[in-house]
Amino acid sequence: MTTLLLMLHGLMAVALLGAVSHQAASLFFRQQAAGGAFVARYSRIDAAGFVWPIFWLYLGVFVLGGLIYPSYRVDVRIPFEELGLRWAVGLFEIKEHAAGIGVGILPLYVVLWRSAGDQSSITNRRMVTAFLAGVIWFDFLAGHLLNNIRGLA
Amino acid sequence: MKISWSPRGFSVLFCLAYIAVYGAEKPLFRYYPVSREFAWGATDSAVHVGPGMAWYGLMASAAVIALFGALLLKDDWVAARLKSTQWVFPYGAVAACLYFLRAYFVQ
Repeated sequence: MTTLLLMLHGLMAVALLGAVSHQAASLFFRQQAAGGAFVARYSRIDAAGFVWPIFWLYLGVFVLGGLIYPSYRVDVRIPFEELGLRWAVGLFEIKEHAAGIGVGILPLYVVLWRSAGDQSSITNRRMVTAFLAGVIWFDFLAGHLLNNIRGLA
Repeated sequence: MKISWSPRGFSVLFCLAYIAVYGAEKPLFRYYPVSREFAWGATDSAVHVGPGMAWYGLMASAAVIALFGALLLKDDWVAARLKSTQWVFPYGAVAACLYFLRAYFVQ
């Protein structure tokens, strides 16, 4: 069961990674990239249309991660500690806290995009979207690395 | 009756509350995965089997504080006060977490 949940967690994380990367690219590179260049085509999307998919995917990935967390605590973290891999335990701690803070700012993220025509919220929208993208990328890579060191049974 | 709340207020208060409850080690509850037991607060006198997990309780503590605050605040009021600095709070919260976790990375 844990393996199935972990695979679902990973697959949803891939979809989330794609969605948030498109949205962030649209926010930061759409103006600069021109013509048929890859970056231009990659960022030429309706970024506001990605908000709810990102919201629900984030919650889904978060809930699945929360469900498999006890298995990590017992089956993975204890061996990490016994092997002296303190940095690996610390990496997971960062992943966990960043993901939690990410959930907390989802309401702000949605409300900033709901007022997408409001020029005064551009900085907030850019920085909060960049924050979510950074958290999602970091958590994905950290989870992948930790699972490579010792996967869940 | 429509309940009004401030999404901006919730997120800002969540970031602040998360750091406060994490720094002060005040989870609402703990979970013991080996015995599948829950226990209130950060510590108790009972003997539990296996390691305890405080993170679910930290999330719950921060969410409860943020929700109460968000119900009291008007979103327009929060937006007007914080203007273009709303983004600072999640970055600050992660920076504080990194500071709390530094012992994992330094000898």
